[in-house]
Amino acid sequence: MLSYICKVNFTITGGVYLKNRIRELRKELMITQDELASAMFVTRQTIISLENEKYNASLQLAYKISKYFGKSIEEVFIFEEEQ
Amino acid sequence: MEFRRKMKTRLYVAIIFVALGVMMTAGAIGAKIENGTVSSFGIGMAVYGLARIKQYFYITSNEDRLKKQEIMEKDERNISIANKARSVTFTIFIALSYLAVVILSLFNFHRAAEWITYSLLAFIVIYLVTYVIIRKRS
Repeated sequence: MLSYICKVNFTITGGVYLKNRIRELRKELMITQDELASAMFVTRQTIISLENEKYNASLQLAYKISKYFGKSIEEVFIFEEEQ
Repeated sequence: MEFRRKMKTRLYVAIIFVALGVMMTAGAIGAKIENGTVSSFGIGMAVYGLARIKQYFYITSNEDRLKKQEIMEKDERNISIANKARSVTFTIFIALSYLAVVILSLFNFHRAAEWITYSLLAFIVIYLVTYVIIRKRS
């Protein structure tokens, strides 16, 4: 029951998650999730959630991540419009 | 540096908690209050304060630990999860309170139902005021 309420709440407040290339870019640079998390001043869990597309980064974090990889936000985060 | 200052403020709050807790307990014992609620509440406050003081010294004694704590607290995902949990809790609390009012009224516990209704109204008013303030500021 509680799990259902939480699920409904999560869906209403942001059930659609952006695709991203964080894992791919991180592996290109050969850095660990821990190192990226430390550089972004977030927890490793946040990086894991982002890579698994289970969490949408704030605009500020998206900007910081893109800047870290030397790319634009659009190159890192892919927005697919709903059909 | 800013976070260290924040931690220091928390230490002062914890010290106030301990002092208030000790005063409440001593006062309750001195006034020979038979009901143990006041002294229990005082002991609870003091223990909570002591735990926070211990936590302060544990975290601030190591720079790495301090940084980890700062990241944990400022992590946007953690903040988002806490906000969502709060929102779900609020919804459940309101729903259960409504249910309690109905059940209590059915079994003729009108006084209790009345008090819960007042508390519910207070919650809703506080929510609306907070909503308006936040909307104005954003």
